[in-house]
Amino acid sequence: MKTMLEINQKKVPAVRIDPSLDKYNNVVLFPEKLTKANEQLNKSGFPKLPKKKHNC
Amino acid sequence: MKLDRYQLKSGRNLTTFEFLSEGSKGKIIKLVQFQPMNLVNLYNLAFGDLDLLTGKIDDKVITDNDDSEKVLATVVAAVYAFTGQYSDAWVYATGSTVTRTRLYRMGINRYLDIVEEDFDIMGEEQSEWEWYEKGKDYQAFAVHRKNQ
Repeated sequence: MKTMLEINQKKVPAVRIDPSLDKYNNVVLFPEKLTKANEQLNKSGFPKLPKKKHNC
Repeated sequence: MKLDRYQLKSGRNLTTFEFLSEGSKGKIIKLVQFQPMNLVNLYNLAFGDLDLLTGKIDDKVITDNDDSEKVLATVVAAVYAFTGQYSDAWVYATGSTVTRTRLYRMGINRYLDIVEEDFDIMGEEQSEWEWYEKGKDYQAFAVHRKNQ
């Protein structure tokens, strides 16, 4: 697991860790959106989670 | 290229992010969440406004705070943070309306060369997935962080 320091040194902006936001862990904030996304996933499926795009 | 964006805050597990949009309509708290879908390692990207009066979150509201580009750049930054932490994750995204999906597609097309430096990106058109190509009318997108 990368540390915040490692993440912040890359293209990612500095993300402030705020433990008060842990209250959202395991809480679905956008249930309608998730339901819709899963319904669409059921229709279209998803490729076998390809790892890489091959340039050929 | 570095786009202007807002300061992100997150809980310790980097799945929910918060930032403060500041524009013509005042200050608005935005929440971004990566929600596990019904497939391992696939996460739905969702974001919307937190209504401080009701405590509810609305992903359909048209905020019109004159900072849409900055908001989208901040959401992209959250995608970087999330996929930096969860390197096997695919992030699924679609707009809550057809108009928003088109807005996202335009944003991806504009910055596709930059996006592809760091992400594999696929598009879904009529329930078929393929590697993303400019000019196609995708209804959803999925990105995966390339190995660093």
